[in-house]
Order: sequence, then structure tokens, then C-alpha cells
Amino acid sequence: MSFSLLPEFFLFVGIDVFVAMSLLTCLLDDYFPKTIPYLFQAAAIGGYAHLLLSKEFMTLSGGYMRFWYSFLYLAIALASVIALNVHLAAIKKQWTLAKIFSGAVVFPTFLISGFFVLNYAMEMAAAFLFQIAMLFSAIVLGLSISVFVTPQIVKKYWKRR
Amino acid sequence: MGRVFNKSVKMMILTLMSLLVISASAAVYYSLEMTSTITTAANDVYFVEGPDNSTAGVNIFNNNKSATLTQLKAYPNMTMTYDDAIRVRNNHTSTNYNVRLTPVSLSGSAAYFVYISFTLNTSATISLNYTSDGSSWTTPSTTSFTQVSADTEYAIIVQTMANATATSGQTATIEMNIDIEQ
Repeated sequence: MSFSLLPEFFLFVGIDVFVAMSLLTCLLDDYFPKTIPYLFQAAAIGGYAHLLLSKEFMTLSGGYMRFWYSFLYLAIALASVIALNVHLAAIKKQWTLAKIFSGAVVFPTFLISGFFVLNYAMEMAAAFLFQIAMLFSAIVLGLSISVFVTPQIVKKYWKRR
Repeated sequence: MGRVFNKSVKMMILTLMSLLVISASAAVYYSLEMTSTITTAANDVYFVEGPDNSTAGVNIFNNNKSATLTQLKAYPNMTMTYDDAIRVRNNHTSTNYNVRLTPVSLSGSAAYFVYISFTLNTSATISLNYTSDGSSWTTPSTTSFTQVSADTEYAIIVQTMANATATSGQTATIEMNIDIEQ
């Protein structure tokens, strides 16, 4: 099965990332400012407006321009995911939570986004089954790293060497 | 208890908003995928009259996209050639196009004709040659594509021959297309 993505797909992925972050920050509201979930929702609605404008003025903006403004939106969404992780680790000093967050959220999000960007760039065929398998393996890998790799284990490893 | 309730309400509101935003975005993206832009364009390849147009009775119409040749003659046992009655012109300044000849219809008694042929000479020669064995016509098949260069005209050569015993005033009507490959 082969398909060709539209540049606006990155806007759609960015919206999804913002929405997921909104729900996640609402769940973990002890660690984040109270307004953050609403800001993410506003960013998602902004992305929706962006998508609508892109549709209306599709004939005016070329494919190159459409790709870059969609990609920029996705990049901002990914940067906000990183910012949340940094906030947990550096400001809230929640090292364990930050590790879990990076393994279960940041890593898979970047992997999936990277996959789609690569797919778009190379016009490669992509199978959804492979995509789902990759998502699960990314989460499992991320969680495993965050659970098993602790500062003590790292220290032990270096001592043995 | 109150805090948990507040959090649940907050989560519910955010979840509903999220569902709304994602569904709306998905709908817009889906409609984007269904969007096609079609722009009208002028035809670059069309008919023009050749120097022998009056002899062959050439009439060009429909913005040069259709033509009739109503004065073509076929003489008994003689080959009649119209070297340059009508031409195919590629009016584009830089793009070459591929064209081919396709037979559409043929009417008229086969008893009076030997052959009627239409030849387009470009870098290669393509030809529709309608032949008669005296009782039935043999309709040629569609030709292969040949290239017509930009800003160039090519003559369609018409050759006819009537049967040795053909009487005057018998007619055959041939309709053909010129397909242009973009």
C-alpha cells in the first residue's frame, strides 16, 4: 500500500500532539501550572484555524510553502513536549517522572513525527501495521529504559568497566 | 473530594474539546485530500489551412479544433495526392506534443474506391490507410504516437484512388481524430 501525504498532515499531527499534551498536563496538574492545559487547547484550536486557512488559500501558496508552515507548527508542538519534560526534570526536580515522560511520551512522539516527515520527504510507501508496531515498540522501549536505567545502575556499570 | 470532582470536570471538558478539535481537523484534512484544482487552458495543437486548402475544400471551425475536407476527389485508377491541404500546428513555444491518428467512422460503398489514406509526416510517419477490395473496406487501426515539435506545422497528406470502373458522383465519408498526448 502506498500513499502520498499532504503537507497539511504535519498540521494535523501537531494538533494531535497539542491535544494529547493538554490532557496529560491536566492529569499531572500537580506538576504543571493550571493554565497549561488550556494553553495547549488554544494552540490546538489555532492549528485547526491554520488548517482551515491553508485549505482556503491552497491555490495561492505552493507546496513548498505549505510544507514549511505545517512543519513549523509541528516543530513548535514537539518543542512544547520537550519543554514539559525539561520542566519536570529541571524545575520540579521529578527525575523519575521526567524519565517516564521522556520514554512514554517524548520519544514515541519524536519517532512518529520523524517517521512521517521522512515518509513525506522520500515519498516512500508506508504500511499502517508497521507504524502501529513501531508505536508499541517505541513505548515499550521508552518505558524499559526509564524503569531499568537508574543513576545507580549507570554508576555500577561504569565501576565494573 | 471537591478537588477530585474539579479535576474530573476539567478533564471532561478538555476531553470533549479535544474530541471536537480532532474531529474537525480530521474532517478538514479529509476534505483537503478530496480537493482538486482544474484550470482551463488554451489548446496548443490545432488545425491550420495549407496552401492547397481551396482545392480540397477545407473548412476549419470550432476554434481550429475541427475540420472538414469536402472537395477531395478520387479518380479511377489514378492516385490523387493533396500534398498540403491542411496542417497540424503545435503553437506552444517550447513544449513538444505527441499526436496520433485514430479512425472514428467510415461510410460509403467500397465498390468504387481502392484506397483513401491520410499521412502525417513529422520526425516519423504515421498514416491511416483505408483500403477496399471492391466489396468491403478495411479500416486501419490507430497509429502510434509521433512527436510534433513546438512552434511547427506539419501537413497532412491525403491520397485517394477510385476503382477503375467507378462512376462519377460516388462518395465516401471518413471521420478521424487526432489524439494529443499531454
